[in-house]
Amino acid sequence: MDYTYTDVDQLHRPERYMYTTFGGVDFIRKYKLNRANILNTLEYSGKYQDINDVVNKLIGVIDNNDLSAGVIDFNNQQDINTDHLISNILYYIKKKDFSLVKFSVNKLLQRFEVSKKLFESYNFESRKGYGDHLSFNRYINFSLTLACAYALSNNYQYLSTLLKLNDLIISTNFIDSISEEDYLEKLRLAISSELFFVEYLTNKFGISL
Amino acid sequence: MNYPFGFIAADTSRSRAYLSEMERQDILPALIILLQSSEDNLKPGQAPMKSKHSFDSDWLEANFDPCEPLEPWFRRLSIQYMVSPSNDINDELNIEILSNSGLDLFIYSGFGSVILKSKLLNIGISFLHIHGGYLPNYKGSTTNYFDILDNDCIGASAILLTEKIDSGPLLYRSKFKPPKEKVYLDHIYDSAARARVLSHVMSKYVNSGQLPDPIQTTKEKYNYYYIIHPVLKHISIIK
Repeated sequence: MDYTYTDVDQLHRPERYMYTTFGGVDFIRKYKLNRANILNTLEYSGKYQDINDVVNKLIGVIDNNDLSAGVIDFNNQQDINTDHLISNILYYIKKKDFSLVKFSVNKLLQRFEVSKKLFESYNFESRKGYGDHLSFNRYINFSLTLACAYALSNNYQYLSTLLKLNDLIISTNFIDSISEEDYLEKLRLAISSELFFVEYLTNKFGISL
Repeated sequence: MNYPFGFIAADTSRSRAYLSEMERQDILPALIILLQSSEDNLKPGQAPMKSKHSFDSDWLEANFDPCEPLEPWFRRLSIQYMVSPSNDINDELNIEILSNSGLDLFIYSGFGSVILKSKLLNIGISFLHIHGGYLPNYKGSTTNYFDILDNDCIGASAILLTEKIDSGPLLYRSKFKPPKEKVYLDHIYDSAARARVLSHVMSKYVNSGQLPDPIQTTKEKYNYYYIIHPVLKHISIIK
């Protein structure tokens, strides 16, 4: 059974992951190969020592200039800019204060899980997204956010959504059009950390690959 | 024996698990409303399964034929039934059928995400739904895979449906050791766990004439789960 979730551009044909069939250990091997290939394309060969090492490297790539402090008010019925929301989340993640932004992460995760897109802004009262949904950088920043969220919380929902988001990013060939080195580096870390988390789990549960 | 409650069924493994367990316990509904098939919006356990399976001896509730034709089954059990022309439980036709049923309790095992609209909720009928997960900790979809990763167990919870998903009054819940063959969780054992909880609630109902009192839970905000990614699903099955 092949790993096919990155074969078709998911922005045009969203994957719902319903009733996925069981392919045994071989399926996990195929997943690992998929990610290893993409990391090879991204010219990444780094390794992580442990989860703390992952957290430090993820946080290290977050640029201070991209961050914004403050409280996001989800109750004022105004549209919230998604890039601003992610910047705000990353500000507190950089301080390793995940509890302060868990609510924000969950809100955005919900919007992504429902539509498999990240729009420019959201009205969280009406649950509608507005503006463009093709900003590669936004997808990469949210991928980084989810990797940090999982590393800081051990909540498998964050890892599950991270896997879906990275499937989407890889499926769209975003990578060919990324020219900014800092975004390439963020993507390398988001994908390599996801792979580390999965390998960590298979080891933890005694699954021999 | 038939009791004064109804069963909203569909052509799914879940409805078969429920009916099989009700037959085994001899707690049968007075009326079944069979919703038309729709494979567009099915969740795990709501799709018909294509073949019979062997079952785990710890799970008697899994000993059902997921392919057994429903209408001959209803007739064999001498249960009055109606085939609804609509698969949407909120459809006016279904509201009319339910309103005229003379029953005040229905077990819900229909299609899609279970969101009953206010019009349906205001016709004087309670809708009993068994959620595939331990509430309120595991709301949402495919929660038992997440519970296996977290705690190596699965769960099911009996709730009365309200307009808010997985949030109605919680009547009973239980945790179970996962089956040996977790690969059949979607189609068989998730439904079997729900059937086990259903059996407990309906036994109480027929013995006392009322449903269990709601369980008080904390106001803590719990996570909501979305369909698990296949890599994590594989890990939870293989581990």
